[in-house]
Amino acid sequence: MWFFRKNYLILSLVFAFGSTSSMDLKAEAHLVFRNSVVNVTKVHAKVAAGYVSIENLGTQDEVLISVKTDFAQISEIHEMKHVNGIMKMRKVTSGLTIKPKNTVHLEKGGFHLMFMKMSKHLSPDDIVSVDLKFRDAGWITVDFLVSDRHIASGSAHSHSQDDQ
Amino acid sequence: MKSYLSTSRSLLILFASALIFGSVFAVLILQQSAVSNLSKKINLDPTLMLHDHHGNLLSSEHFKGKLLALFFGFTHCPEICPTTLNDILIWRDEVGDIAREISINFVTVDPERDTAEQLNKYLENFSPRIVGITGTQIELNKLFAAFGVYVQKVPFDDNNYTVDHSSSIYLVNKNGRLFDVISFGEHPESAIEKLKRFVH
Repeated sequence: MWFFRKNYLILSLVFAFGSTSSMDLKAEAHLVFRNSVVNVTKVHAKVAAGYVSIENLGTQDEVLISVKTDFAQISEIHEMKHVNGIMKMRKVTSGLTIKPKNTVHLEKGGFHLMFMKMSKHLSPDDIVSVDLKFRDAGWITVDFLVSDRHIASGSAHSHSQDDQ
Repeated sequence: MKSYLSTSRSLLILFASALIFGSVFAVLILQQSAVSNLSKKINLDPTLMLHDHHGNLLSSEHFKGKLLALFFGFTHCPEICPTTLNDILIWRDEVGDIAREISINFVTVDPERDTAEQLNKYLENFSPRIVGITGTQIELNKLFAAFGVYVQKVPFDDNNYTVDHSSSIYLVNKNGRLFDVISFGEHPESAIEKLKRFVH
């Protein structure tokens, strides 16, 4: 029983870390990427936000320095803050530090990748490549799933279709 | 010496009492102020001249005699704006058919990029029932001032810019008074409850 359990665990890790295209998980160098999603409105979106969790398995700080894609003319790291009822968004110019053995979550309402001047129309379920540049690991390409499911905050379901 | 200690203790008790009383009084004042703000009359400039997302002229008459939900945002906003528009449609559905009476309005804080055409394309993503509102900066400023909405253009170093803005939904009743405000991130149950009270 113990033998099967142990081998199952190893097999799971091989599948998980061996994958380089999954949007659920990608491991490269000392970094692990999870849940990479580009959030879009359905059509005519001039901008899109990218979310991903980045874990640093290394023993030193790693820094996300820049971003580039072929679907947006401008790609930047941004931070959104909601202060006293006011939405504020700022460009992160000094890079995003990921401490060793820690995970930084780029997520709604906080740090995110900001894609502007979109040169390509993205549709839900598309898979797009995003190049992330790290101070030590260099450029790493991560696949992102295009989705509009992250837009609604209050409920998983969409509003009634008779409005469409 | 004993007398001195006694006086000090008395002064300390007096000071602490004043502090507690002052704090309670300040909280009461603030609460009172919030309540009065919630029923305040929205005074719109009668000469207000804006455009809807079809390019039609939209005057101050549009804001009279109906249940209004107004959200101030812009189409280059990646998170709060699409989230809020989706949320309010979902909450409205939760309240039921009666809530379809609410006129949902998306007022741009970025008229430079949000032309009527851009608003029209953008709002196709959500619902044809949402009214997109744009206009000149001067006319829009009148609307922002009437609601006390914060709008601040913030340039980036690459000739791009973003706009900081208030993120709440303003509910205005048929008498032109502010009925309530739904804050960004407010629990859906609370938002739905406010909409229920709004339409009943």
